[in-house]
Amino acid sequence: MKVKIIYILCVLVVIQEGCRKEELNVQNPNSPTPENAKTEAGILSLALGAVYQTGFNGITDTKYSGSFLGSSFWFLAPAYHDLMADVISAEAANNITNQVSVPDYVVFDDGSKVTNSAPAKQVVRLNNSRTKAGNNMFYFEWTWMYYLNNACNLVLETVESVPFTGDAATKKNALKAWAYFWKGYAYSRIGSIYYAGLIKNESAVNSGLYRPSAEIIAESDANYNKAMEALNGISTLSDYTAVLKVLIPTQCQTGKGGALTPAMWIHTINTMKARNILANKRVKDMTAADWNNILTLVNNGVTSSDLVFTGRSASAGSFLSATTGSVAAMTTGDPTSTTYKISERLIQEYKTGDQRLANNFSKVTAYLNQKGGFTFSTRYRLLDGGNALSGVQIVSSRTVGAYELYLAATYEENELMKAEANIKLNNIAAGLASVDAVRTYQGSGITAVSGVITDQAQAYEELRRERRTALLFRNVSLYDYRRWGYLDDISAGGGRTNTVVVSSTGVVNTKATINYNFLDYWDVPDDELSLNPPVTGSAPVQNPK
Amino acid sequence: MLNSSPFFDLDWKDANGDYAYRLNASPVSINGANPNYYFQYSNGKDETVDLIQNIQAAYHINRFIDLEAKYGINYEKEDIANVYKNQSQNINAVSRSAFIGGFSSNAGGLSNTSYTTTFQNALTSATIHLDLEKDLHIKLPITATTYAAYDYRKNVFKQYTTTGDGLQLYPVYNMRQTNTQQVTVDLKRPFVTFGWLVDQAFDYGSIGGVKAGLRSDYSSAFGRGATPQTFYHGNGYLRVSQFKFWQGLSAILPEFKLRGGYGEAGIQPGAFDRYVVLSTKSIGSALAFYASNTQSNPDLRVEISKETEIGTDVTINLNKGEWFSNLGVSSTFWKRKSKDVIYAVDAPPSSGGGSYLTNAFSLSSNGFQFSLNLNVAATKNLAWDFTTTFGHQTSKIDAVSTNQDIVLTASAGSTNLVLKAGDKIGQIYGLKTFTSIEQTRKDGTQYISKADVGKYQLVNGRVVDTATRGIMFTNETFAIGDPNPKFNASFINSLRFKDFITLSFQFDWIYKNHLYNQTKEWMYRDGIHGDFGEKVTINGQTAAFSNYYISAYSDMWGSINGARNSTKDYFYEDASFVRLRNVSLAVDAARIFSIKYFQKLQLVLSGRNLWTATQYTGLDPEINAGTSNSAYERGIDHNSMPNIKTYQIGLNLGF
Repeated sequence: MKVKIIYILCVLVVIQEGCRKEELNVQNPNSPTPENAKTEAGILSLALGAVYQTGFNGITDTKYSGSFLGSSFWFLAPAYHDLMADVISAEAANNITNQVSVPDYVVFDDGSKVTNSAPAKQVVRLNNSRTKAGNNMFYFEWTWMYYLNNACNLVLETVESVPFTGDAATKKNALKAWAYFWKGYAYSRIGSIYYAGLIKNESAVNSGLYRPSAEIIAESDANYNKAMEALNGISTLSDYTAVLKVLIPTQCQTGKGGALTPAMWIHTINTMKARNILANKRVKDMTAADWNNILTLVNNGVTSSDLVFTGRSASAGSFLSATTGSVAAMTTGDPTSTTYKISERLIQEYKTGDQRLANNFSKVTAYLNQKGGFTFSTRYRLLDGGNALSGVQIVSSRTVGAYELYLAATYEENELMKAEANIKLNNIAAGLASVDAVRTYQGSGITAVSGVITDQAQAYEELRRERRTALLFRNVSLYDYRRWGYLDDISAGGGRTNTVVVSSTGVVNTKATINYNFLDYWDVPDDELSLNPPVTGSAPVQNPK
Repeated sequence: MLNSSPFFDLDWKDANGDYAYRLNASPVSINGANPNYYFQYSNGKDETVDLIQNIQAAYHINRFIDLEAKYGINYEKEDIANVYKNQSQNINAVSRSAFIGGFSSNAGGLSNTSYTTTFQNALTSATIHLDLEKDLHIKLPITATTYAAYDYRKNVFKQYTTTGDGLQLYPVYNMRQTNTQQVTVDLKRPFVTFGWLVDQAFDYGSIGGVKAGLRSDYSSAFGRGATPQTFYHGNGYLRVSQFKFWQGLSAILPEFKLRGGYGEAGIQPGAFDRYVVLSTKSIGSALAFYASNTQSNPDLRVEISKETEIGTDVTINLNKGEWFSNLGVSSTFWKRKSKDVIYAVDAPPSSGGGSYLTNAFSLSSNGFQFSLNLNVAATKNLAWDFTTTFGHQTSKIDAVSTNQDIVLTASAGSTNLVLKAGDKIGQIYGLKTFTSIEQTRKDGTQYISKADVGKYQLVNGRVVDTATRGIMFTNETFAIGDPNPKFNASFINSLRFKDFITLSFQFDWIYKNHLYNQTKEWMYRDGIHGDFGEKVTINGQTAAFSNYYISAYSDMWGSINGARNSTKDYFYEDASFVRLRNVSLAVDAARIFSIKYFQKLQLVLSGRNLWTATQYTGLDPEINAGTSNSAYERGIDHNSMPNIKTYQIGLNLGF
């Protein structure tokens, strides 16, 4: 009897075990697997997430994001550009935004000189260490853009095995165009700011071969060309549009945003390719051939009626915060409380009577920076939603859904590249006509200069000021500062003269000399180098400057 | 609040009767916030219901075999509701462009989260007893005990969170009053583990014994095809004082015991750490897929730790009287090794992901623990026991499998803590204060040139530039120290007087532990730390020079303002302390007076952390790192919650 009980118990236990091995197979019941992306709906979800989540919101590691004052790629990576290009300033030490744009020295109107005891070039390099985490300026744009690149690699690898309904070739091409376009975009940003980069076109294979920035730009162009090729393979427009309507988030399908036609998209690509040329050469080194190449591209670039790639906030399904998701939003408000503050060097570029100045800025009691940023004091406030001047461009709004962030090319940028190339090729009237067109388009109220100004240098000055103001917060300010030579040391012909600087005691200087002496191309971040060291044959990873 | 200047009145209300949110007077208190604003505009509710049910059956077959079966089910439900009211009418919040709640605008919003956990445990066990002398009539005092069990556990955790964005101005706070609603979390996490446990013990009379066993488990973290993980353990003891040769000593040393043990344990990967999935998020009106920043790893192994310890227990007879009759001394030396510790290590950014889970490193710790138990008094009226413990431990990283340094999130100044092969856990690196005019760099050269010596002065042991009044700090990083204590000790007294008063109290003493006072460093930034009122004498002038203090936050050699919030030994403090951990006094009135109906009428007064002696300048020398409960982030005080003093009054009634 007793033996039987033990026997029965044992059998029961053995049966229990046998059954429960099945139970172990819990999987993860909450989320789809990579296998689920291999359907039509799945690949669309993957392509959507690649750009707006992985690309623009991919840094979620608190080591880096814990110090964020805002959110997403758009509050920080473009901010470093605008800080170094003296469009904005910051006094918070978060992500060392307060230190990257302190010039080496300033000479005031009275001849007195203030010198920076911690040169920005030295500070950013001192912080180029993985242990410095969020303080490493070099980390962010690199990481966000390689996240974007690799997520697009995964889309390209998955798309081939997806069965589509309708015109499969068209849908596949639309998705390929999307992935190649954003890869081109990522390489463009990497090549335009880092001294060296990596070419990585397979999602699971890492590369330790660092290449000089020019090769990264060439890779950007190659990807833009593949996107164009895919767009040329679109035959059923309705199927193409159905795909685009998913890839462009609903909140962005308004204003200048929406489902671009293949032709509009090709215009954007041409403008971006022109940007690749323009951004990566000093103006003084540009040849007539360069200007002609740009002209060829921009003549088929974004037009005033084209839709372009935009970003907008939304109260649900958002990838961008209305209040913290962009440089514009974080510059908006009283300078005593905003993260970024408008620079006097931006305001001085607006021409007298420019309605865009009146519509977007108001004068406030001078905000005097006390914390070492000796050029940071400002008398201006960026307005939330503009000053209600009808027909005039609005730079910023913190209302949900109101601010339109331009992710890539715009009509104004295309037109101003056209203007610059024409001026440089001595077609001055044609060049200034483009400047006038942009001013009219943005409602500046400035009298036309085409045919009025005939001197090339004066015409270029009109263009220069227009680029600074019309392309505010459009991701080109640092490229411009670099190609105009402002970033370089004064001893090497750089710096700026005749600048407006409010001193930390409130004295307004109008003829100040600023010697920025910033790094023109950034070093590769240690976060990459220490985990993925350069293999033999790699290009130098540090700018010798 | 720690960032707010003391001259702000947090209780001030504006003309509308609202509290101000941001109280800034840049450059001070730039991050100041008013807690009253939070009370006015937010509220939260957290309710938990626990249902616990157990059934148990035991069957005593005979004197050899006992069978037992237990089954328990625990159902827990927690509901958390948070409300952030519409702040669009608050004058201060609007003018500062700031609001609380993290919703899309200053119209606030609300979130509701419900967590449910269902835990089931079934344990079937058999115990077999065998006594050689009684059962088999063998003349050996050996008893054998065999224990075998089958253990099944299943835990299902669920979370469901809904958020509503944008509340109205009228005081109705539910989902229907919000502008948009979404489900932000819908998660289910089942976890199943089961396996065998077998133990065999042999005891030889009261002289000694050995026990050895193993446990072997399957886990759902490894899926259906996995093999079980097996862990061994064993221990033994020998009471030397029970041998015949000891008899001469037993009057003085009645007990002398040697003991030792070995055990293995495993920590499994998280329920889904081995399953590769895509995360989802709604963007626009579509669903987006993306790979999460921390990648799971299908090749993760169980994290294994092995611990060995040896020790002795000794009792010493001191006195035949009522006072100091005997003393018990125990000592234990232990060593623990953990390998394949699961940790998310960094991936190169170009790989497209931030980090991935892996069996990242191995670490070892060792230490000792002594305890001493003294019978101070056992008289008719007074019983007094005294215990003291004394311990030390140290841990270090042995190796990192990916050959990289592991950077932790907790920050001390500008530098994050790093787990490095060969280093102790918690090692901090930073800039050093000049303690002499001859301060040298790592290469041995002197910072201050001979010609400039006259421009500097030693002030309170720190070199100061007499012109700027700033303290001098190196611009190279040095190892500042290991924050772990040299030893921990406790002193516990418990006294009973007659049968109506009992008193017990415990002092804890932690010696030479260190804290990086990040809280203070931030207060230095804003110039709101009390130190700024302390006078110093520089170049014959005595005043509370703010440059002297601000330099500690922002300067280093050759760079005024270039090292803001950098890690500096200035903020690395000795946090040794002695603390009255517990005190409790109980008086039973029923034993003093004869009170009708009452067997017991005891008043208990007790308190925790009532008194502390320390040189540490922060809120609490025992404060924990920014990330709570982290085994690796040690020695950092970063606006962490201090321990609280508590007082309790209790009444025990017996009828």
